[in-house]
Amino acid sequence: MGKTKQELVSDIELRVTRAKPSDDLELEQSQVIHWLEVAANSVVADYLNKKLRSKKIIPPEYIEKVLAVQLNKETAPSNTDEGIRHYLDFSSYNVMPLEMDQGIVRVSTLTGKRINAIRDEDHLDTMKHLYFSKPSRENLLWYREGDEIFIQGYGNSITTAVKLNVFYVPTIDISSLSDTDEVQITDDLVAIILDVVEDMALRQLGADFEDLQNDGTQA
Amino acid sequence: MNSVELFIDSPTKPFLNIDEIVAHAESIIDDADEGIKVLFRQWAWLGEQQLGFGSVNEETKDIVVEDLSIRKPSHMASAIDVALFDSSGAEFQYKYQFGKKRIHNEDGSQSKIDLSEDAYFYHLGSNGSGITHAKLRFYSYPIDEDNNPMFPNHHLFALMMFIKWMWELRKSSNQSAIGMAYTNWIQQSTKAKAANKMPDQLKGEEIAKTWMSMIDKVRHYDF
Repeated sequence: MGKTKQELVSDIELRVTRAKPSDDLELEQSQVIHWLEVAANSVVADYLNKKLRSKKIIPPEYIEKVLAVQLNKETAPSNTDEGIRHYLDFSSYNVMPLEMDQGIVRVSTLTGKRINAIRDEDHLDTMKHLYFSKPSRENLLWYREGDEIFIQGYGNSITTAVKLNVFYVPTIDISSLSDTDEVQITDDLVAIILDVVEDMALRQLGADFEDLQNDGTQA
Repeated sequence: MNSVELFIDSPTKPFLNIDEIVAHAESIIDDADEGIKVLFRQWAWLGEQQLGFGSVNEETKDIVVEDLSIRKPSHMASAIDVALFDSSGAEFQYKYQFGKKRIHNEDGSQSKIDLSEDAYFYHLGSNGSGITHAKLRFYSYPIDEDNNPMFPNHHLFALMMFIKWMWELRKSSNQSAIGMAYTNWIQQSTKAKAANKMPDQLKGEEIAKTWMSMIDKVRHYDF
């Protein structure tokens, strides 16, 4: 991680103006930042999916942890067969959509015990009929529906407030950063992302986009 | 930490819990995702049922008789012996009846208490109304405080091979991978079953004394 938001934006401006930006350049920074976000999320997701397919770990630079997330009780169960479900509200966090929902890297108890993921909900139906695999307090399982991470195994009798830790891969958010903040992209991907953004910019602005005259108007 | 706690934490402890079995299996199977690893728990149990029991599985329990019935422990696998007692601690003889109820009147057996069983209970005949408790020696599936099974330490490698075999079957790998995993399981399960039957030194000596000795065991002072 090394590039600041401003460095990336400046790089793109230099590339699309052939290193000769005029002072009346009408390329809005917010547009460049949008392109950067689109490209970064696509490139990083591809990069991480390839890692996961080859059974390699997600580089720790891309993982964020949210400690002690409060477990909630579902008030209106969508599926009455399952009884009351418990879930973590994860709507405040943007999880990168990776294959098999591996954007959620790990859910664990506060003591650090891993809660296993059931990434295919149909698989959970099978588990429920296997005595030692079915969800229980000793074998907690989680699956995700939208912004809610459902935890199976607590039953209906949680007497004290339960909190859990979640480790996840956030989407790359550049627009909310200040100019001097570093963007969470590893160095090996920066050049690829800049190339992608340059292509996007030139495709949208026209391949011959160039404004070398400081005459107050965009060429 | 006292010596018992040291023993419980020891790698040579007699039983492993289900998480330890699964962790060992995970150590040789790196291409299963979390959801599949949950199946390892069930496979561990499935494999354990194939391996049978040994002396480490022997357990004794004192059970109160209720309505002429003795509830079998839920983790009992197979009975070894039963002893019946009244409230004063006097032991009574019994005659085991096949089937749930005696259907024959047998001369000379009236002094013995009828004992029969079904899947969940031992049943005493009406002549056993004075029996208040029974001592049951049985082969058990030992369980931990969470009601999960415990596995004899010497079953570990066989169970790892069983889980590996199940994993290859699930993956629908090529036939040679499945075949190799199956062969490994058979080899290790054979060793585990043999270890089940292996008496320790004390038992071995006792067996040798009673079965193998060529020396006349008549105790003359008894006469």
